[in-house]
Amino acid sequence: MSRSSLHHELVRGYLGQLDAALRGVPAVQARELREQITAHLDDALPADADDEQVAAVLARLGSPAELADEVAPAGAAPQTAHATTRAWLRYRLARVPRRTWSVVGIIVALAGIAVGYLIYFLTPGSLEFDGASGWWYPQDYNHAVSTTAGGATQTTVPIRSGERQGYFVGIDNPTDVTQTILGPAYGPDLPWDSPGSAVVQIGVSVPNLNIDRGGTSRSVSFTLPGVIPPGQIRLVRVLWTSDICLMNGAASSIDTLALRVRVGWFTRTEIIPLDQAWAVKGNSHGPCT
Amino acid sequence: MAEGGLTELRRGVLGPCVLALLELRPRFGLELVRDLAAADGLLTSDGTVYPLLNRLRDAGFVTSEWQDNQGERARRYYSITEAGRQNLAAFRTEWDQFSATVAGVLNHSRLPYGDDEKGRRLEPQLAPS
Repeated sequence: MSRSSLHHELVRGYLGQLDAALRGVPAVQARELREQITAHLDDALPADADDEQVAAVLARLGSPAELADEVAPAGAAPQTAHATTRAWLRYRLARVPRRTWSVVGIIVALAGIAVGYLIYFLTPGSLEFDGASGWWYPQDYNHAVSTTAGGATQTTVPIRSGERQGYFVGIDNPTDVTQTILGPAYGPDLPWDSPGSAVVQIGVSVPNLNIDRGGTSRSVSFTLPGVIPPGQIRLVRVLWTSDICLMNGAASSIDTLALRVRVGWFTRTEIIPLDQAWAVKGNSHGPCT
Repeated sequence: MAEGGLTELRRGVLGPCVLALLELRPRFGLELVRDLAAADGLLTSDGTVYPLLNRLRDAGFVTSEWQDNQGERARRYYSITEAGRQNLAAFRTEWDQFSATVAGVLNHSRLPYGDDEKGRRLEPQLAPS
């Protein structure tokens, strides 16, 4: 837009008169006509238009009073607020350049893709317990006692206070999406991952482990984060240093594994039911405070 | 004929003329004004085209859209709608009949009755049965 043509003294004078003439006209229509007349002048006048050229263009436009009369003919019914709002909306939408609509379209498309992505990665099912499991340390699995009551099984070992204890379980990814175990999920409403301590160390077996082909859990290495591709199984090892207080032969047990899992761009908590309860039994060493 | 009468006649036909131009292709304001001005005697003042365009748009005969063509300033382009096309088609039909009737009256060829060249009163002409 040329500044010089619109800033010509005669043009400014004309637009000022037009504003004055449009005072009785609804604001939306007045604004629209002013915008149209301004655009007309901007198109019609060269940047270096002289007084004679400007005067000729303004004369052809007609007087501001005539234009104002065209917009609001005498006796015209006043517009309702609703109609004014609609006209304003129409005006504003029509004013939006095509490039802006293109940008809006792209943003809407990207938002749609993001929502689709979100739905795709948040709706897949959780990791599942696969069936393989055992105590990690020989001093534990050599003393494990398995009991069944009411259809529920529990494996119990003596608590070794201040020492490392742990178990491993096979975890299956039955979904079509890669899931990555990031670590234990802690929270006031979340179950513990160990019967002997609130704090645990999680490890996920590295690839090429195939427990269905007789792989030995103690011969594999573990890592974190640990990736489980779609349809594959990994061992998850849970280790802790027992630090809870158990008196008079009391037992502590857990039967779920709460994990932080990344699915696509998103991280969620998955609570995986285990096949049996894992328990440690007292008495713990040292005084209970 | 008085100038005021011609002005009213122009006002009445300007809308269909605008629709006829937009029927060919969308145009921006000044382009439309220049094309109308090129038809001698049709436009009394350039500025009246814009309120007319707004009325046609409010009636649903015209739409407008801002186009930001590369290398040019953004311009509001006006296009005819389907309702506008139908309205224009109807006007064309009526205009043909109307203009023929007016021409007939103006040229004394379709007077149902009137005075002859000697000032004698003529009886209404009956259509042949």
